[in-house]
Amino acid sequence: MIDSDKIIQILYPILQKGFWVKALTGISVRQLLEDQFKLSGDFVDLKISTVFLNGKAVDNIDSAIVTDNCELALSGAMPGFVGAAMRRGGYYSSMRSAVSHVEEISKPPIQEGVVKIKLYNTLIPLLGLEFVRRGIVVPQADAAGLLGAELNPFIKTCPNTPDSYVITIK
Amino acid sequence: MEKILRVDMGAQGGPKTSLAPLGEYAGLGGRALTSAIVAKEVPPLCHALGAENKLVIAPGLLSGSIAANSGRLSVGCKSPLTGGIKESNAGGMASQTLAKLGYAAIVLEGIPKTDDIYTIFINKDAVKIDIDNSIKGLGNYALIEKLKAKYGDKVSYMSIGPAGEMKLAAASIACTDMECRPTRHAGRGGTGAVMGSKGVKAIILDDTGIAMRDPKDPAKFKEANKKWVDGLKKHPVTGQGLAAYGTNVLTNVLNEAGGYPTHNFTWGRFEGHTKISGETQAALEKERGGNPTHGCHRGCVMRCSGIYMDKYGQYLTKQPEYETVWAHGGNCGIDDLDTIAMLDRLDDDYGVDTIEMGATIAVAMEAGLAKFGDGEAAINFVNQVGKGTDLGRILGSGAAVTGKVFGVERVPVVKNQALPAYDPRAVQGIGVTYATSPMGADHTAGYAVGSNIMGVGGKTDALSPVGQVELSRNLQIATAAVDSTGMCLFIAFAVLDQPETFQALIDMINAFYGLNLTGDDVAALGKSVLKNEREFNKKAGFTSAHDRLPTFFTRDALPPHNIKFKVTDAELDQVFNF
Ligand code: SF4
Repeated sequence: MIDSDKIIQILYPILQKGFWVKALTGISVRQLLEDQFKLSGDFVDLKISTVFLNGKAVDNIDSAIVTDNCELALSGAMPGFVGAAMRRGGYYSSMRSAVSHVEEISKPPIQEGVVKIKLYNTLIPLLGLEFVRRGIVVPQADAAGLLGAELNPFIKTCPNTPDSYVITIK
Repeated sequence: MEKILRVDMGAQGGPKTSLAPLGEYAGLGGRALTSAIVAKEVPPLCHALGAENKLVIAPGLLSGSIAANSGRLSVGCKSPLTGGIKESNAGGMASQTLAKLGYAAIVLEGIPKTDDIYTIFINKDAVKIDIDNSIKGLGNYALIEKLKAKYGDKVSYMSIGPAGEMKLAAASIACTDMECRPTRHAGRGGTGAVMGSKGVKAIILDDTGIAMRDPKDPAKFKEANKKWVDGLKKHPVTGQGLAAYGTNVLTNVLNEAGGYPTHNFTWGRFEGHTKISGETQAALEKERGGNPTHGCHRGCVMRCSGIYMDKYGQYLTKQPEYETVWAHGGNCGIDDLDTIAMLDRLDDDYGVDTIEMGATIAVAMEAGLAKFGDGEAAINFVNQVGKGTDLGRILGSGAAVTGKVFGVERVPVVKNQALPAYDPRAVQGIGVTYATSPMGADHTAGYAVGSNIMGVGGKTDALSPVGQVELSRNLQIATAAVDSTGMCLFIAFAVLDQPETFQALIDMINAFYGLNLTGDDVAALGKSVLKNEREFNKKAGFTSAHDRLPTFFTRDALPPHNIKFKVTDAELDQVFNF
């Protein structure tokens, strides 16, 4: 049995760099976080203060829509003026409007898909284990260093994308 | 803290000291005081390294008290880098010690008639100025070790390395930290060169036998300080995120936003960002027996700093901050934390500003002097600065000089000072601050106190460029005020979100001095500081043409989002309309 701190310590480079999960797409970021990932509304509102969708800072997680193959980066509150500017819906968010997420007019279909998740800072210890228990998919190149070590028994070649591994720790 | 110590280094017969009450400067501290003295007493057109310039060292209004996070020091002068007024802010123990000794400021004036090197020792009984040529040329680490043999490790030291002695425009002034290491620097603007021009290598501050400063109303002060500490501790950034990961926690987020300047501001993302992120840095520090949660001075409850050990578990440097990791990391294409930490150590030892050096090395790389990503070359460049080779002196003069010498157009400076770690094309509001701050490009000039809370602005139209200008204006005003209290600017995160924490700060100042200040008074203080600074710069020859970003920011789109800086010149000229 490996303790959870150790798992996070081993996986934090991958959790920052990004991993893929299966999810329903065509729904809002909030729906993804709360309905699909089963996070509480309080957790989403209080702990996930900075959200990027495809590299653009999101202000409204109720209207921003995740699409198949999109990238979602999640972060706790960030320091400094720029950190404050990056927060969703924050007072200074207009200062980074050049990199703010703008919603598409056409709504994508609701369908099964995959989403790339990146976890930053305080959310690595808070959410990392949850995702790993559900199973994460990572490019083989990113996970090569894990083979032959403690997590080896939990790593399998991905049946859908053979150049990736699935890591699942129950 | 009712007196100013003046040291005339150029006096007949050797340096002379004089003591005077605060007089017309009463009520001022920190940046408000340094900028008031420089604006009033330094001829704006003087040479920054000449006898007419003054180096003003001032603790903040609450430094030396038990107020949490109140130990930041302001160092002011005419800047040899920008040619304008400068306030450079440092952590470390000097501010607390100087305030406890009762000095509102030390002012170094004149230049000595000989090449001798001086130390200034100050304790409760005396001010002693000595010639000590045995310390000439020493790096800050060796210098402090040597001085410790004489003065011990219970005192605070301010010192310059070889870069300051050579009067290089990127030279910093080091302040020792809680472990008596020279790791906290008044880095920006070449203050170390001005100290070098005065012939002063080290100032030793000894507060033995002196208690913390007493507030006028101890009960009210204690209550306000408790609310203050509670506010800092309960906030998710100041209470948790900063302590766990330090300021370098910003690397991943800025990179994600496409606003992380990479390879001398040519790209907004850095491939190796996770290798040098705050998350990775904190894990490495823990693994090596360092400490990712550490204060830069006693009394800090947020502790954004840390201790960085090398791969053998030996102390190498303090935890490099976000700006340093960016400047020497992504900006130079370097993705190795040990190399970045070594560069930080060398910068601290030779006494140069890490932001200016990183930006300069990236310009040198763009000029073809080395390849982006070549860590060994970067270390060699900084060593050349320390040795004072011809190339080293060019690099130690900053990015603007280096760009000129090597024919590089893309030189990221405003008023000759290098831009910090946020690309203004991605975060346009900070571009407004970079362009217009009297300090030159400076992220801390508009760092963040809720301008809505302070009542200096009010809500603005979130999507119009005017909003950017107004927000930048309000932030610059608020920051100037905070810099005058001696508070670390990182308190801003708590103050931004929690009005009661901002009120606790005002209550502390009021209880300490027996005043009745309101948020409006604090805003008025910030405005007057900026006015002093703008006025000085105007007389020094600065015009609105200096309040601009380099052309490439408006001309070249920044990948991956392909954005340009869009705030117009006319809008930039509105920032100081108050
Ligand atoms: S928060 Fe960081 S910079 Fe501010 S006083 Fe504490 S250690 Fe120093």
